[in-house]
This record gives sequence, structure tokens and C-alpha cells, in this order.
Amino acid sequence: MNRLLPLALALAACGPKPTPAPIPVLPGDGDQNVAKPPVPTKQANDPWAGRTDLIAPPVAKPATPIELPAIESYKLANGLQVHVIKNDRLPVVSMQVAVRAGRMHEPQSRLGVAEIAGDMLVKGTRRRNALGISKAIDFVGGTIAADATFEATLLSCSVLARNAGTCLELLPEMLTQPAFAESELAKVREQAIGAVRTRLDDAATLASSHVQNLLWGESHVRGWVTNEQTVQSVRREDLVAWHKAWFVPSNAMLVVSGDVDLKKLKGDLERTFGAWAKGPVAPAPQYKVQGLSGSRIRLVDKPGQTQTHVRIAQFGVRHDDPRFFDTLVWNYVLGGNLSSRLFKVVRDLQPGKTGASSTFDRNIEKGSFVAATATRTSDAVATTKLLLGQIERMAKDGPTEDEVAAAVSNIAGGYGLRFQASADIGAALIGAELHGFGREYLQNFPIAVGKVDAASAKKAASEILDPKAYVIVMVGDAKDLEPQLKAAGWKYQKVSFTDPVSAQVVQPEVPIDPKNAAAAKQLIEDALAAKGGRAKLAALKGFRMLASGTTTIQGKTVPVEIERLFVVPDKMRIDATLAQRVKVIVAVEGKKGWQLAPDQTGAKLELNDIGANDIASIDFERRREPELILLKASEAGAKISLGPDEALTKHTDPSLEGKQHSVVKLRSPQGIEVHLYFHKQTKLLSRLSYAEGPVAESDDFSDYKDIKGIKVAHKRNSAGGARTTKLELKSVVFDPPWDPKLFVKPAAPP
Amino acid sequence: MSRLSLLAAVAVIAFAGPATSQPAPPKPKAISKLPTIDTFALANGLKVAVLATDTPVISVQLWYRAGSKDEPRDRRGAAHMFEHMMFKGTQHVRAEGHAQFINGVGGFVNAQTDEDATHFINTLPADHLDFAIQLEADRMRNLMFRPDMIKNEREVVKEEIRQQENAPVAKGFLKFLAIAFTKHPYAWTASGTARDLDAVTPDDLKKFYDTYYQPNNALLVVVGKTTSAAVKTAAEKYFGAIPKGAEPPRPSATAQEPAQTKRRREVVDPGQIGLVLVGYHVPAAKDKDIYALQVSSIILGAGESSRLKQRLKSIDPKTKRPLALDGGMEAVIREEPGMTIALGAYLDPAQAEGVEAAIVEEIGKLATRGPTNDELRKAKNQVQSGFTFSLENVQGLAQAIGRSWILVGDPVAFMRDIDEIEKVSAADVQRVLKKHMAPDNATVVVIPPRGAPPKGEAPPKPDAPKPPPAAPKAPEPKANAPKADAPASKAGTP
Repeated sequence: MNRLLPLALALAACGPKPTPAPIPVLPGDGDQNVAKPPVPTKQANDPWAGRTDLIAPPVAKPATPIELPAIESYKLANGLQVHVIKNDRLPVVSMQVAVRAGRMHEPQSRLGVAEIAGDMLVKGTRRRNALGISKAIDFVGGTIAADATFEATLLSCSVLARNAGTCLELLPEMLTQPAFAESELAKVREQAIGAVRTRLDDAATLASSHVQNLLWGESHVRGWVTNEQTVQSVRREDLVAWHKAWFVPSNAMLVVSGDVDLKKLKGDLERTFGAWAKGPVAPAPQYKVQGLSGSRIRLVDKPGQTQTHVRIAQFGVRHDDPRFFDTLVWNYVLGGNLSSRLFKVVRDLQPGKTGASSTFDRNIEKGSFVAATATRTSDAVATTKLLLGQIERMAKDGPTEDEVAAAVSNIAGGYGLRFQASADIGAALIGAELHGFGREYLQNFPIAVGKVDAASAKKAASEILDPKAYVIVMVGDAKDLEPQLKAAGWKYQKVSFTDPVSAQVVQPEVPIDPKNAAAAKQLIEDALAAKGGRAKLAALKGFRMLASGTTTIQGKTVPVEIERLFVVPDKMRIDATLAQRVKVIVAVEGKKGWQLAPDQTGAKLELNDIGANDIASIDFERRREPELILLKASEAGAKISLGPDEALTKHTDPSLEGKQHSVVKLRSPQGIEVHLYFHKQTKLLSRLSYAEGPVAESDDFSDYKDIKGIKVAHKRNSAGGARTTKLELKSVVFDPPWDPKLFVKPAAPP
Repeated sequence: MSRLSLLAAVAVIAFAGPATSQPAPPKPKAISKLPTIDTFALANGLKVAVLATDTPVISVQLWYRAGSKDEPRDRRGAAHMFEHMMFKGTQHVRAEGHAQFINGVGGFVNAQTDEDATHFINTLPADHLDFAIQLEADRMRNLMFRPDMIKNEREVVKEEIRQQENAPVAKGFLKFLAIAFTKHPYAWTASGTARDLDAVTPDDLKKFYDTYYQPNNALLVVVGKTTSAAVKTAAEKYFGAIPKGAEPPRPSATAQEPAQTKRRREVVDPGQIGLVLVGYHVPAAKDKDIYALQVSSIILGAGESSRLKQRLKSIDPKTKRPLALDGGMEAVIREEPGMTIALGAYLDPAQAEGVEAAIVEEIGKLATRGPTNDELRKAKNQVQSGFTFSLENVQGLAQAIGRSWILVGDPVAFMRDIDEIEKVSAADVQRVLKKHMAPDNATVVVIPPRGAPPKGEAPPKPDAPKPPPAAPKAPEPKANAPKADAPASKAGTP
């Protein structure tokens, strides 16, 4: 019998191929999918072999410290740190200000505020408008700019030395009294929207945005990417609040460089920048690194794109990490120059590649490490495998001694080349000081690089590059990419290039501890009892509510009237009137629905079916219907868990402010987690919050009144993205009579 | 989110790097000690320009009069491809060895091909001057033509072209040039076309090399911590033995652009943002009108307070939105008659005509009424200041010297131009605008915007806000955000 077994196996091998393992092997889960670097085969036909007249490489000098001009440092009376770098080689002066207010300080609900506020600084002050600023600086042929980076807002002003007064006048004004005029905000917003849309045409930027989002997820500031909605949601009051919170002298520094008279400058600075009022600064928000978000490969479909942009990202290293200089070196070898391993391996795969590179963030906190290439779509997966192979190889073996020597001599030797313009030293000093290093950092940079050797670089590479923890983004034409991904057995998430850049809201499902689940169940039971009892709620066949209030969209508030009819289990109709004239109707029944709303011009009404995508979102809305959600949460199989108690903040009802609430998390079939906040004493629902897409939404409830034995919140306030709506219920009817025609789509708009 | 920099984007696409992206030449009144540029020539015709500075950095550049306008009409892209090949090994340096050597001491290399020239840049610590000159001399005549290398580089350049094909703005700009130039080789850019490149043979390339990569067709520029004597010694040592070549042919000599007599206009494939390009033929760099044209384009389009930016970015009282996102003007000055190009970038498809009309009107207004004294002074100050700041950087300064040689045949001329700029009067501005920027001389290309993206990102219109996502909550009506399959007419921004 035993002798038949090999035969049986051989026969089986001729039949259908075995089905792949249920969880396909991902690149990085071992080396079976990772292409090995091609073995160099070129020695055979090396045209330079045996030549004796080759030009020998130049001999690099040992690293020496950078010679910096004298830097005078002092603080103004208001606490503003000043550094002055005197350099009279040319009659020019530059002033640079850094305020620790960057993208990392933005709240998620006001994404983009740093950049918009930065752009707005040159768009007018209380003393002169945007044209006044540009005329003043253009007239002397100078440049003035403000820009928000990840960590700080940077302002700079450069002029001929004889015009230094122009910078001394403009910069303090911009810093301390920006106008944030609505008319200018409209223009800046328009530009920001232009940039968001341009991203759609720019596969490289799109790939970079997606890879950061995929790596850091939705719960970390590095994962958030602006979209048109976020741009629209930033209002003037947000800019004012942003400015007030961060733009204070103790949170900033000023560097003046160039042809200046030190003594006179000191007086000038005290007179101008010295008038900047002191203020407290909040600590910068902190985010926990959650680990990788759910999906590890994201395919961004861009039909018609002839190239594919590939990004591989993982977590990087802090600037003050002792392995920072080692990382500079191994990254230079891996992907930091035009003869790097990544570059070569991509060029060697086939002619025609434009190369590859790798970079890592030099940030206070740990940032990202990203390897990038743009490749012909037909080679996309093969190229990705090559990059992964090189990353693994670097993690395992580190760079060679020769590679380290070349990297050190380039990085150390090239550092001094950066300091040509007097403003260059200023910019480098700001970079060092923002991260808590002094000028010694600049002077000793070449020495620190020179200390790196093969062993220390290898150690750092092996510790920092984690072959298991990375994400991949490909932006290209899915019709050509999907067969390659499937053939490689790579699991991936597919999105369209026009989708907002956001991680799927599917939070990883963690097993719930039975004790915790029981406690959550008890809370729901208590809440059901408080609301009027399970029996009463279960007997409800439907309800009609009339509400009125206001809605604020993009800073504009209009009155709103709403009639909402809900028929258990899945019929819903909303008739809304905005600003007493714009009418909108939405009617849904099961998986179908229609809506009547103003057309593009706003002039006439349009009747449309609601598409399948939006039905999913409506499903979720029906699910979280506040009158019924407790029943859903108490169903057998409902995925609920108990969160830690939380004090409510910014609730509509001031009496609830700061009050501790019990929190139950309910996972909806759509994968979205809804948080229910119950009042400790009344056990009634005070708030319901969730994140649908990148925007956090919350509904607040208060003013509960008894309607036929059921407690109904009469004050309701919802906020999310750019909108806030405040409503008060005027009437509530349970089990109302209803006309089935209400859900039938009319033949034509009225 | 990266900032929009449309002018820069367009300049990079085609008229890469050259001419007057910075407000033109300069009047160094602000500077007491004006640097001096030494020039001399070797016996084989190689020109040399040296500017000594005191920064410990040096930029060694080799400029060849070999641009895309020198390519045969059916070999578009050959000059650019050749630039790539120059890094791929000589008789004495392995492929990529040049870059590796310079990188090895902390320096960097680069190269750029444009319509008029190809130039090679080595910026490195000053003590390696000789080495950089040796490498440049070696590759001037010792390039190794290997078939596999040629095949490789062809694909690399084609890949760069492919990247352009994916960008509507780049495509639109190429179309603009093709419409503006009916005969002159400025009708195409240095990037070339994939089809022509496929046809380029190793023999074609060898012929291009032997014709244009000769000492008598090149300028060596050195800026940095050195002396003229040191540069002269090194130049003689490494370049001296190279024999003089034949005078290279200039295909454009027989392909001069006829005068335009009628406005040309075309609408091309849409992009995410709209772009209106309005260009006018202007004379060659040597023409005296160039100075007034430069001043005109600064007044119209350089700086936020310039006329075009002010006009295009002003808020329309009806829509409460600016007419355009950004705008500007560039005088793209070339060795032979080039173009001055104004542009406006916008989002709303309905604004195309308004943007175009505004640009034409502002040019007309300046031509009729002339600039104010303040505007004239401002433009001249911008030039002066730009010049002074350019002296801070050895690489930029070396490029200014090389460019000056390409444009007017004199590496030092740009230092004198500043006096000419200072002489430009209001009447000069009016005269050159009337002469060169008349409506019949205009070429207009419109790249329309696709309008609001198809899904979920459209802004609500001001007078019909979305119904509130209230509790009781309504689903968002999607009238503002048509689906991907919605008819194009609906896709516009409200």
C-alpha cells in the first residue's frame, strides 16, 4: 500500500492545483515572495576590465567641524529667543521665524488649519491688507513667505540690507496681528482645493498621501490627509483660535542673518518683535502609535495611468535617537543616492526604470521611513519585490564597509556645501534648535557622521527596519495591477484615486472579555429600562417627529425645519426645509431610495435615485436611530463592550459638562464602532459618537420628556466635519398613520 | 499638502531652468564690490569664465551649444538622451563613475538640456577643482558608445516622457508650443517624443556627439573659492590636448518662424485644474526690446502685487470666489525669438473665458496707459535685489554666466544688462507691448478643469446647503456630488 502513495501524489499533481492557503502569504511574512537581488553577471563583459588608465577616485578629506560665523543669542523681554548670525559678505539680510505650530498640532476636526493659517499670515494684518503687504515687499524687491510644515510654521523675509526696515515692520505685524480676512480666506481655500484636486492628477503625491494614511491610520495625526471637505470646514474663527493658542513669543524663535549692525538690531528687535504679547502655550498633542492599520497593501486605481507609483513605508526613527546618524548612513546606502541599492536594483531589473529612493523623516517624534519608485505598470509587483528584497537584505546584513565609507564621505563632505547663503545657516540653526539641539549640532554634524561604522550602521538598520511591519501603496491602473497582485498571492485593499484618502473605518476586532461584555450588557439593560422598557420600545411600529432649529455649514447659519417619519424596520422619510425656501426630501425603503433636492444651480429641484453606495451609509444611519439603538445593542450577538468612564465635554446641555458617563461601544455590521454615553444617574443616552470616514461625528441628546411612557430627547445637537445642527422637537407621534405613497418615487419633480 | 506653484510647474516642464525665471538681470548699485568675471579661451576654442568667491564651495560647469533646437526634426529628444549618456562611462571612467566620484567627496552632479543648450554641473568642496575639470574634459571626447547602454538610456528617457504624458498640464503646454511655433524647432521641448527616440540609432548619437561636443562649441564656467590662474592651469592640462572641431551646423538657421498674423486658440484635454496659457512671440535675447519686455512681464506677473495676480485673484462680488487660483507671466527669453507667456489657473469650468479675457485686458491696459512710476521702480528694484541674492550661491551664479553665453554669446553680458534695465522708461514698456503683444500675435491654449471630483468631495453651494445631518438625521442628498457616471455637465463646481 505504501508504495502507491508516491504514485497517488504524482497523479494528484497533474490535476487541479491545490487552492492557496486561506491567508495568502504577504511579502515580509517570510522570504518566499521576496525576490532576491539579481546576482551580478556583468563581470564577463565589463568593458573596463583590465584597463590601467582609469581615473582614480578623489581622496576625501577626513571629516572636520563646520566653521560657523559668530552667532549672538539672547531673549527679548517677552521671552522670544533670538539668534543673530552676522555675515557682511553681501549686503543682504534675512529674518526667519519659527513658531511651534505645525500640522502635528492640528485637531482632526480642523485638519488643514495650520497650512491655511500659515498662508493667511501674508494675506493681511490689522494695519494693511494683502495688497499692502505684497506692494511693500515687492517694491524693495524682497521676498516674504509663511508656510506651515509638520512641526512648525515658518516665516521668512529677505531684503537688501538697506531695506531691513521693511522686514522689521512686516514680520512682527504678520505674527501678532493677522487679519484673517474672509475675502482672503476664500482665495486661500480655493488654492487649497486646487491643490487637493491637483493631487488627483499627480500619482506621486497621491501615493505618498495614501502610504502615510495606511501606515499611521486614522487615529494618528500623521495618517490624516486633507480633502475638499476638510478645507471647506476651516473657518475664520478656527484661524483666530489657532493663532491665539500657538502664536506666542515663548513658542517661537527668530533668526536674523546677514549684513546687520548688532547693536542697532538689538534695539530694533526689542521695539518691533518685543511688542509681541506674552501668553501661555498648551502642550503639543500626543498620539499613540497604534501599530499598522488593518490593511497592508492598498491599490489605488487610477485608470489610464501608464506608470505605477509604489511606496513602501514603515516607522522611522526620532531625531534624538542615538541611532540617527547610523540611519543617515544605512539609508544613504539603501536608497539615498543615485548609486544606491534600491536605485540600482530597479534599473537592473529592466532598462527603463526611473530609479528608486528611500527617505525617513527627521522629526522630533518618530516619523516614517518610505521607499519609493515609479515603474512601468507591467513590472509593478516584480519591482516591489525587488525593493522589499533590498530592505530585508539591509535589515539582515547592513551596509558593507566600503558602502559606509562612501556614505560617510558624501554626507560629511557635503554638509558644508549647504551653507552658502547667509540664510542657509539660519535655516539650519532653526532646524536644530526646534529639536532641542544647539549650534554644536551644525558644527559637529560631519564628526558625528564620521563616527558611524559598518557595525553600528548594521545594528541600527536591523533594529529599525522591521521586515514584518510595513505597508505598501500602489497607484496605477488596477486592470493591469490586479492580475499581478493576485498571481503573487498578495491580499490588498482597492480604492479609487478619487476616493478621499482615508483608512477604512473598519477597526480591528478584538476579542471581548466576557466579563466586560456582561458589564456592557447590564448597562444597556439599565438604559432600556430608563428609556421606558424593552417591551414598549419593541412594540413601536414607527414614529413621526417634527423638529426645528438651525444648521451651520461653513460658518453660515440657516433655519431648518424637519419632519422625519420612521417605519419599523426599514422605511424612512425626511422632509427638510432650509432657510424657509430650499426643500429637500429623502425617502428610503429597504435597499432602495430616492431624493428630491436642488440641482447644481440651486434654481430647480431634481429627482434622483439614491445609489447603492449611499444606501450603505443610510443603513448605518437607520442602525443608529436613537429611539431604537438600545434594542439593537441588546440583541443576541450584538458586539458590545464597555469602555472606561468619560467626562463629557462640549455638550449642548451645559449641565452635563464635565459629568462622568458610562461608555458602551457597539460595533455595527458596517464595521463602524458607535460609542454610547450614558448618564450615570438617569441611565439615559447623552451622546452617541462615531467616525464615518475621516471625520468624527457626534450627536448630543438632552431635555428628555416622557411621551406615552417612552423618554425622548427633545434637544438634539449634531456636529461633524463642517456642520453643526441644533434641533428642538416640536412634536412626537408614536405609531402614526402613514401613507405608503410617501415612499414611492414621484414621476417627476413638482 | 503641497503649495500650488503653477508657474514653476510649467517652467519645469519645458522651458526648464533657463532664461528669466528670476526677475531678469540686475543693477548692482546695492553692492560696493562687484565681483569680476575673468574670461579667456584655449587654442582649441574652449571658452572659460571664472568668478572667484570666498565660500569653500566650487561649481564647475560645462555648457554646450547643443539643445533641442539643434536636433534633426525626426530625432526629437536626442539631445536630452545624449545628456543622460554622458554619465554612462568613458574610456577612463566607469558608468556612473563620474557621479560617484563627485558624490564621494560630498559634492553633487546634475545636468540639464533645454531648447538652446545642454549643461553639466559639478558642485563640490573647492579643493577638488582639478578633479572635476579632469572628469569634464574626459567625457567631452572619450564617451564609450555601448549598445546596451544606449538601449538602456533610451528607455529611461522614454519613461520620463511617459511621466509627462500622465500630466494634463504638461501635455497642454507641449500643445501650446506646437501651435505657437509652426516652423522653428522651439515647437518642441528637450524632453522629446518616444517615437523619435525609438528611431535614434547609435550612429545618430555618435554623429551628434562628434558635431556638438567639441571644445569650440563649449564654455567652461568655474565659480567658487579659486583663482583664474588655477583654473587656467587645469583647463590647459586637461582640455588643451583636445583638437578643435568643425563649426557645428544650426538647423534653426533655415527654420526661422514666420511672423504671426492671426490669433491662434485651441482647447485641449482637461486636467484637474484649468489652465489658460496666453503667449506672444518675442524677439531673441540680443534684441534691445528684451529689456523693456522683461520689465513689462515683471509689472504684469512677478510678485503678489503684480497686475495679473491682483486681477486674477480678486474676488468676484457675485460668486464670492476668486476668478482664478493663481496667475502670472514669464518672459521666456531664448537665443532665438521665444515667447512671453501669461497664465491663469482656475477651478470652475465656467471661468475659462473670464480668465483669458482678464489676461488680455491687463496686457492691453498696460500697453495703452503705461506703468506708474512706482511700478517701474518696483520692477527695477526686483531685478536689483534678485541679482544680489543670486550672488550668494555658486551654482546659480555659474548658471547665470553660462546662460548669458548661450543667449548672447558673452558670459559677462548679464552683468551689464542691469544698466539697460535701469534705462527702461514707461514709454518703452508701452511701445514693446504694442509691438510684440498685440492680439494678433497671441497663441491661446485652454486646458479646461474637470470640475468638482466625482465623489463625495464637492463643496456645498452657498445658497442651498445640504440638509442637516441632524438627529433626526437625513442622509446627505448628493445633488452636489454627482457620481462618477453622472453626465459631465453635472460635474461642475456649483
